[in-house]
Amino acid sequence: MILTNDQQDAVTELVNIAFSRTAAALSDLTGDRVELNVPEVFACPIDQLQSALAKYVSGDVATVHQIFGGAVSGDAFLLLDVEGAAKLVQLLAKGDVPIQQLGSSDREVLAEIGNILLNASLGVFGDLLQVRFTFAVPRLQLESLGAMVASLTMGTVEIRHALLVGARFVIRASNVTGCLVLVLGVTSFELFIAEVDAWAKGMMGEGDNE
Amino acid sequence: MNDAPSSNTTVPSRPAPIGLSSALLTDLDIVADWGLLATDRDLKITFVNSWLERQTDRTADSLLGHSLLEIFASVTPDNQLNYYRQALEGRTAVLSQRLHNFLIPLPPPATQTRFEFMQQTCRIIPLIDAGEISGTLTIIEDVTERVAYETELRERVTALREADQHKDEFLAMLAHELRNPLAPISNAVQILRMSGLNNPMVEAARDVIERQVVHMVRLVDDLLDVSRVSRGKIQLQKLPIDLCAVARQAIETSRPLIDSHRHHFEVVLPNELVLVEGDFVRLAQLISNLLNNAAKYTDPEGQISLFVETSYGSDHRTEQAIVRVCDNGRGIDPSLRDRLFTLFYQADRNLDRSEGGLGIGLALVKSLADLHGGTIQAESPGRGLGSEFILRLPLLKNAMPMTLAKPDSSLTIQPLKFLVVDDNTDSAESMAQLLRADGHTVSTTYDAHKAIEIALQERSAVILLDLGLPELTGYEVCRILRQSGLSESCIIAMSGYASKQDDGVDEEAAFDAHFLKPVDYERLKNVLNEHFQSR
Repeated sequence: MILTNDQQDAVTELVNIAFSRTAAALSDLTGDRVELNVPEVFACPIDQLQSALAKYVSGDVATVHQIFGGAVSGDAFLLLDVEGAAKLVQLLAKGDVPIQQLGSSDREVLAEIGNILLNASLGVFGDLLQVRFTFAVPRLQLESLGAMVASLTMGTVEIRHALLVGARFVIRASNVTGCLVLVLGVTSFELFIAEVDAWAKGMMGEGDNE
Repeated sequence: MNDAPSSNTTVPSRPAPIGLSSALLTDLDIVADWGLLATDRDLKITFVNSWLERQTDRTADSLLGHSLLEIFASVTPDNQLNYYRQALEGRTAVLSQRLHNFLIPLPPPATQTRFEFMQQTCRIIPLIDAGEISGTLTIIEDVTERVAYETELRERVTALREADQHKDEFLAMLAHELRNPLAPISNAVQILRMSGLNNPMVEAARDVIERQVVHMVRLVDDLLDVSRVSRGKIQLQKLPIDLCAVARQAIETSRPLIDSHRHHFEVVLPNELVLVEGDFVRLAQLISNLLNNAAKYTDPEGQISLFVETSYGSDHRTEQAIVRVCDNGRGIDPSLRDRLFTLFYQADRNLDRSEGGLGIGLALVKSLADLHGGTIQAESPGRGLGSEFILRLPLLKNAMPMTLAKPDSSLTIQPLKFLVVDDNTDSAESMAQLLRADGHTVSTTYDAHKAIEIALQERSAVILLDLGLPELTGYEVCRILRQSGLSESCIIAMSGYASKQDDGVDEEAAFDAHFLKPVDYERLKNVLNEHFQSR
């Protein structure tokens, strides 16, 4: 499914709000200025997800996965390749030596970062679209990109769509690029897009009144 | 709690909200080795499990009904309270130990003295009863032991890195110190050669000294190279070069060793150029190391072959330049193949070590191959069945090769006025003798200040200046001489270190050339010839 330009602009606007909240939370937590940019937003059917993700990650990936429920339900992911994940943890947790492998404590940091980002993103969507979400505890997994994508389609016949949002963390002049993915069933996706349209229309109406 | 959302926030009924029922808490206490703490929507404590009772040294009765903020002062609006607000809105939170250390200050396990407080990883999640968020649940995991272990591991890694760095620095220093005595020995051999003595016994003894000095210089060079590789200080002069020309240079270097073992040596080079982007000297060193290795680990009168060719890589698209060195020697045990390129590793540790060596050659080969974006691979059917080393480098297309000028060993230079400055008196005097034997006028000094005085007074044409002088370094002496108007002199640095970067000084002091000890006399003559011809 392709978003119209207006829908894409609206989602980008919402994501920007969420990312600025995430960046503020991470800055508070770490004492370092953290920036979080949105290079790109687009949507695709789940069967095209792997090739779409290849732009951001490859090989083995670290995935923070959070199931969310409510009027719109689905799966939210923060995806980073393992090297990027290790670098992000080192930058945020101020590791003194570069890490090649993610140990238990590093994985927890990554889960917390993913949790903050996914909570903020879904929170902003929920607040602005007047939809209430509830969230499961985030889970961190290290697996190949193929296995991660396969796990989304296994055992389900439901048509699902994915919303992909590039996410570039900038910390102390270094940057790490990953991807935020929302996977929604077709009903939830249509509802989500309808709410985005309504929000965008409302925003334009407000703008017209000014 | 003033900041908490108002009660009775209802979550949509379909699909079911995500959370944990408070009815499960008592059951969880039986199976969980974690802290469990539940609150209502006003953050008043409604449940603590036995783990938390033990850790806080308080009974559940003394905690229940009290506000979380009142009991645990560490939970403040400035830090963790926001997570509870989120939970009351249906969100979950993970608090990692690395970013928070702990949520609630509790004593560490008795076995841990490293931390003042128990290190914790926590989750704060909504409690759901009858489809409504009824409060929060905090799950606290004690990770103190794990974090202590991880911290210790990190400290050990840091200590090992430091030790490794000290080792590299020691190797560089050792190589430097070993070079100093080699310089006068090498000079003395040259003097003996020029003295015209024809006594066969003296000649034989001189040849022994010369061969052993060359061998020692090679060992010291290897040591220096390996310390430079480990410290990332090797700098390649990459240019488009013909790999066949590189191979010919390597053959010239290794030929004496191959011939001394009476090996049959086959060389197969293509007629066309095989261009790569590389450092001529370093790639020649790499191939020479492979040839020396083959010569050393093949029994006398064995077969050694060198092939240079091109082929497509595993992707069937990229063309590669390939150098193969094959022998029918001692071969490689399959179980040892992966360790061959490890520094200081020697497959023949238990043999008589008749070929000696430090276990550096192949490690250096791998480092140099890596630095050129290439690979090195060792193949062997097994012990006693020979081996094959395959170097693969990216092939360069559409470029012209650069050629290196070879030193002219028959060169003679007109008599010049020299000043030799070295605090190692043997080194200074033997170099002076060598130069005098060639007809030059030579002054020597072992002192930096005296060197400045003599150089300015005599207006020396050539100043051979040791960098490691006491009081003033060679760099400082050179700078003073240049500033004092000695611009026409050829000032040459001599150092036990292989490059300017190795001696820790990174400044341009207007030297005309930089020589490694022992000074290669033929190269010195070439440098001087070029210098004075250009004037």
